[in-house]
Amino acid sequence: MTRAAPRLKAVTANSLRDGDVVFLDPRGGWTRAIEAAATFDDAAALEAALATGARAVADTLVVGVYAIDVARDGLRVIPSHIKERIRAAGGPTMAVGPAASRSA
Amino acid sequence: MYRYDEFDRTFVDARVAQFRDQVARRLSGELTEDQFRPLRLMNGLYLQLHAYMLRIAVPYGTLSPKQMRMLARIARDYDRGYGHFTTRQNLQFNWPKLEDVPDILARLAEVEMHAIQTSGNCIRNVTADHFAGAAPDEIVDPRPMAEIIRQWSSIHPEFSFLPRKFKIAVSGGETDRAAIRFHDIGLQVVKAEDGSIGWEVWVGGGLGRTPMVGRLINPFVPASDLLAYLEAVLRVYNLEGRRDNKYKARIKILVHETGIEEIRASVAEEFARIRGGALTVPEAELAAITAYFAPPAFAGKPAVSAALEAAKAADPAFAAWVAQNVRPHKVPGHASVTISLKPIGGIPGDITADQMEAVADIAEAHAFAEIRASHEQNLVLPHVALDDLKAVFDGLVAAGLATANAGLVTDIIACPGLDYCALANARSINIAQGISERFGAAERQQEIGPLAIKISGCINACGHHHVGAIGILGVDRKGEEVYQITLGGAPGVDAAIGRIIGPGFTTETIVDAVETVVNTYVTLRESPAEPFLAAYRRLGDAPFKEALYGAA
Repeated sequence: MTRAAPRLKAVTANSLRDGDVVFLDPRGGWTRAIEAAATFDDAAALEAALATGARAVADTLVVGVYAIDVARDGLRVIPSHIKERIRAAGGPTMAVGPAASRSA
Repeated sequence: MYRYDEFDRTFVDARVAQFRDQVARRLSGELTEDQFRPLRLMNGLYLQLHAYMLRIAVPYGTLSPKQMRMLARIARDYDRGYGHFTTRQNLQFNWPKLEDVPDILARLAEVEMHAIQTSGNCIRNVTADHFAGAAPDEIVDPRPMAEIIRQWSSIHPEFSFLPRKFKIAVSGGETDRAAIRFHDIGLQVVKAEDGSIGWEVWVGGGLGRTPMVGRLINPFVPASDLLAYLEAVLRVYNLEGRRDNKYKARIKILVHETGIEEIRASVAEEFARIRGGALTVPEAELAAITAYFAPPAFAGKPAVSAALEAAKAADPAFAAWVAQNVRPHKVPGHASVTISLKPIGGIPGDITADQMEAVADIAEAHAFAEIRASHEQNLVLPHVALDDLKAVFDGLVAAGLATANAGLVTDIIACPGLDYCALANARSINIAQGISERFGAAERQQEIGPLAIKISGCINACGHHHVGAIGILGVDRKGEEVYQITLGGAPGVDAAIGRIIGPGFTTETIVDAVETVVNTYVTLRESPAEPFLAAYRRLGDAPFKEALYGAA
């Protein structure tokens, strides 16, 4: 199991309109791909990122902004906690709905 | 079934319009999330891990084909083609977009459905025995009273901001298929010696982080007085229940800390004050509501169906399904059918839009147009003529809904867990799938016999793990999933809370551990007729502990 270096963080939220999991990207926008997320290894940069997040909340783009622990593995960004790994995957860890029904 | 009157229709339509305005104001930024959150929750809209989730009430678990078709249409038009039936007989959609929710609610209102009071610290959707109106052991159908309670409790001004949520379940007779002893209030129909019908009232049951078996607070409340009695219980709870600590705010804690005798006395005092007043249920009103739930016009049929017997003889798969998923009905020549939403390796409670429509078609053609959702996350066709069972089965086979496992080891209750839920600590669905695959062979399931496995992904216990013969609770240990096993839980008349057997297991080892428990039971039971609970109560923890962890 990959363990996060304790300092590395990313900033996440949910999109207001559809609830999708999003991550703050290096340009201050929001991405659904965690690989495109900005990561922060110092407190000042993280604080600025959370402030950007707070503005996005005020601008009705996202809700529930918070920082998560992540690790970088080459180009991949891997959340430390399983809950965040599942969020980052964008959906349940098994086939669901009509796709699951067809395979059953 | 109950039909909306003008008041109901106007009220639900007004709520849709109100929420449409609230969503617009949220999207424009006029409302902050802190302001909007309680408003959306009052309309059953949660924000989960990946998306919004809309929880729709299915009052006392009763659905018409028309309603089921609308749920299918919503699943297809606004969601991802499926929905999820929960342990409170509700239906959840996992992927609605915020801006679509007012339209979804408008469509629900077209078929007399809504999502009101499926969240928040109010009286939630009243649940009922899923065989109500059909079960041979029932005294009377409890749903007319459940409907009266629904009307009384909907936007009840005094009880819309209780210390905590409040759940009521009803049963029409002594056999408890609605887990009434694990609800804030459980109600059971009783018949007095003079033949009059009343209600036994249980209070203070619940699951969650502090599981408790409800206490009998009143052995007989006449039907006409039941609302007044409920109002008295709720009033005492609303005034005395703790608001300083969310985890101690349920009525079960009040009953536990104050004592049932003192609570009973307080309720009796309030009841005496309000009894005979505005909350008295007039006999004419009870009769009028009861008429909505009148049984279908069953044709007189012999108790044995030659067509059924011939079909069973010709088709072993059909015979196996009848043996497992069909149960006796109060009217000769008829039966109740469980439609398993637990395909082997599937997701408990999930159903696709196509399957919803198939169930609606079958119910209309062969089941007097009535469908139930069970708290066990299955569907039920309460009324089917024995002659029609083969047609029902064939329809279910075509829809992929004919799994013959009702009540068996693969008929697993599981909450959505960490695959969907923002509160969860661990996944539930994958564990249910693993167990289902492990025991999926029909012969193996038959060898084991009836066995209830229930899985929750967190201590809130939506998967009812405390009352599973084998319960599984997912917990978070330093960011990884660990599963605790409890044994000996029971939801019914012999209500019991399962006991933790020992240290937890990982995602990789939990299915093996469950198999070890099952094998221990099968080996040590006195005969195949001895149920798991009886064997566990006779044997105690020791043999299961030893099998799981080795000799001490």
